[in-house]
Amino acid sequence: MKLDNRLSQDGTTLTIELADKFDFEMVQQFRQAYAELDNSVTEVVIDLSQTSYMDSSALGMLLNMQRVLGQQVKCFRLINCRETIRNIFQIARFDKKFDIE
Amino acid sequence: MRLLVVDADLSQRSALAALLQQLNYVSVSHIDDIDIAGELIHQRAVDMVLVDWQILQAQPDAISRCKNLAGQLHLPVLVILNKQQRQRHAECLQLGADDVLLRPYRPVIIEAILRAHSRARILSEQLEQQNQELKRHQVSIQREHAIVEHIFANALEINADAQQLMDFHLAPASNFNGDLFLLNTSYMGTLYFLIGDFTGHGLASAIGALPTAKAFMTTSAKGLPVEEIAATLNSTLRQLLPGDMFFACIVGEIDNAGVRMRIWNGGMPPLLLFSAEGELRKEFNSQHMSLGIMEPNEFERDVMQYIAEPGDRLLGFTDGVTEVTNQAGRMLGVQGIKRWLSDTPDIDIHQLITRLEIFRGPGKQLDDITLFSFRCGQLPAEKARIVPLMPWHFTVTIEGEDIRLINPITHLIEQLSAQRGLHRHSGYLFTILSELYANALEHGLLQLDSSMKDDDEGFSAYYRLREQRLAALNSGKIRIEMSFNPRQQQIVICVEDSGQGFGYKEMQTGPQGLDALHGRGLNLLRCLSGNVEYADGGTRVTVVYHLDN
Repeated sequence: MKLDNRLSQDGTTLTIELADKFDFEMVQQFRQAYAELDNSVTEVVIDLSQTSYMDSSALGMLLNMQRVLGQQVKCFRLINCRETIRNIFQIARFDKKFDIE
Repeated sequence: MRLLVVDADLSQRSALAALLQQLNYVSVSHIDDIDIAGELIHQRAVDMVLVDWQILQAQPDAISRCKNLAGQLHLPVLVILNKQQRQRHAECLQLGADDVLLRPYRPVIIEAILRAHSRARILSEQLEQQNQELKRHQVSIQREHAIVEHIFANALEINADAQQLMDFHLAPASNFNGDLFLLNTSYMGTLYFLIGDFTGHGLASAIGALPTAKAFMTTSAKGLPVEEIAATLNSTLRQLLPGDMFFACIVGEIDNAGVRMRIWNGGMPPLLLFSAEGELRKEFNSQHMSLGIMEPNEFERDVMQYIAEPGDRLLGFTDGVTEVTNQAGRMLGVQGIKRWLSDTPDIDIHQLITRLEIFRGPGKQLDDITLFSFRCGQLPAEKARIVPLMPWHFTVTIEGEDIRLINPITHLIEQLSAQRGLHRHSGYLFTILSELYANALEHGLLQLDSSMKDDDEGFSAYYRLREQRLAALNSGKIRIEMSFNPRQQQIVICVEDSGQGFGYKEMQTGPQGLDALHGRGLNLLRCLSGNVEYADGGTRVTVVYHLDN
C-alpha cells in the first residue's frame, strides 16, 4: 500500500499518485501527503492511473483535503481515472467540485 | 591432381605417363578409349584429361562430351599433337580444348602448362564448394525464416472480435514487418489500438514486435490508461533494443460510445479525424519521442483527449504511406492523404491502398505500409463481453479475533474477479462490498458514530478510533452471503452482523449534501445497485447488483 507525492519544479503543483486501492487504509497516509504544504502550491493533482478500487472513504478523504486546502489551492484535478472510478465520481457528483479528466 | 591420358597407342601413352610421374604427378592413369574416360569423369575420379589428336579425329565431340560430364566444375582438357599435327593447334582450341601439348615433349614446358591448368581446376573446385555452402546456408535461413514467420503470424494475430471494430491493412516491404498494428478490448469493453513503426524493416526491426505485443495486450486488457501503456512499452523496449533502434508509436483508447478518445503519440505521423463529409476535425500530432529512447524517469505522459461525433472517422498510418513517392519524385505526404479524404470522404481502406499503388506507379514498395480506419460510434461491446452462465452461492463468516486480522474484501474481490465475465465488475463490487462491510464493522460491531467525520480532525479521529476499537475486539460475527443468478444476471449480496443495529432510518434521511463528509456511502450503494434493504434493526442489509447496468 503505497502513495507517491511530488511537487512540480516550479513548486506550484502537488501531485499525489494513489496505488491500486484507494480506501480507508489510506486515510493517514493521504492526509500526510498534503500536510505542511508550501505556500507556493496552487494546484493539486490526484493521479489515479494505477487505481482500480475505491470506497466511499476515499470520497471523504478528497473532500476533506479540499476543505483544508481550499483557501490556498484554487484547482483540484482528478486525472487518469478509469471508467469505473470516473462513474463513481459522477454518482457522487464530484464533477461539481473537481476537474475530472 | 589426378591426370588421365587417353591414347590408342600403348607405348606413347606409357611414355607420357612415365614423364608425368617424373614431374611428380603421382596419380596418373592411362587408357585407350574416350568412353571409359567419360565414365571416370562422371564419377569425378579425374581432374585433368590429356587426349591424343588421333582420338579426336575418330570422335570430334570427345572434348565437349568430357566437359559436359564434368558439369559446373571446370575440367581442363589438353590435346597432344606431334610435329606433323602442329597446324591443328587452332582447331583443337575450337573443339573446346583448353591447351595443347607438343610431342616430342619438353618437360619444362609441359610442367608449366600443367601447373597453370591445375590452378584453374583448384579454383573451380573451391568455387563449387563455396556455392554449395551458400546454398546450404540459404536453405537453412529460409527454414528459420519460415519458422519465425509462423510464430509472428500467430503471436500478432488480432482476435476476431476486435478485428470487426476496425478496418486495417498491413503490407510489409520484406518477409517481416517493422510496422506493428494491434487491437484489443479492455475488460470494460473499451477499444485499444496501437500503430507503430520500428526503425528499419525486415527481421531486425520486427524483433521488438513480440515483447511489445505481449506488453500491450496485457496492459490494455486491464484497462490501463494509454500513457501508462506507453510508459510500460518504453521501459520494456529501452531495456531490450540496441541503442540505434527505437519504436515510433501511437497508443489510443476509444470508449464504449466510440467517440471519446485518448491518444498518446510518440514520433508517428499524425492521426487524422475527419467528419463524415471529409472535413478535417482534429490532428493528433506527435508530442513525444519514440519509445525506447527516454529513461523511465524522463518519460512524458501527456495525452491528447478529444470527443468526436458519431460518424466521424479516425485514420491512422505509418510513414510508409506518407513517404510513398510517385514517378516524378514527389512524396504523397500528410497533405496528400488529407486531399484524398476531402475529395472522397467515403473511400475505404481497400480503395486507399489501390490509390496508393496508382500514385506510386511501377516503382518498388520501399517501406512497410500500415493503414487503419475507425468509424466513430457505439462499439458492439456486447460481442466482446463474456456473459457468466454458472450459478453460484457462497457464505463467508468472520468471527472473533479474525475480524481484527482479516479484511475479507480484498480476498472476495480476487475470487470474484477470477470468475468468467466478472472481472469488469470488480471495481463496482469492491465499492459495494467495502461499504457493506464497513457499515457492519464500524457501526454494528465497533459502535462508531459517523457524525464524528463531519470535520477534518474528526475524520482522522474516526479512523484512529476505528483502529483502537478494532484492536480490542474479541467477539462478534460478520456474515457475508453472495449468490449469482445467471438468468437475471444479478448478484445478491447480504451482509449480517451480530451488533446492536444502528439508526439506518436516520442515516437514510441524514446529511446528503455534497459537502457532507459522511452519509455518502448509502447514496453510492443505491446508485450502484438496484435495491438496498435493511432488516432486523439494521443488522442485516441486502443489495442486488445487476451485471447489465
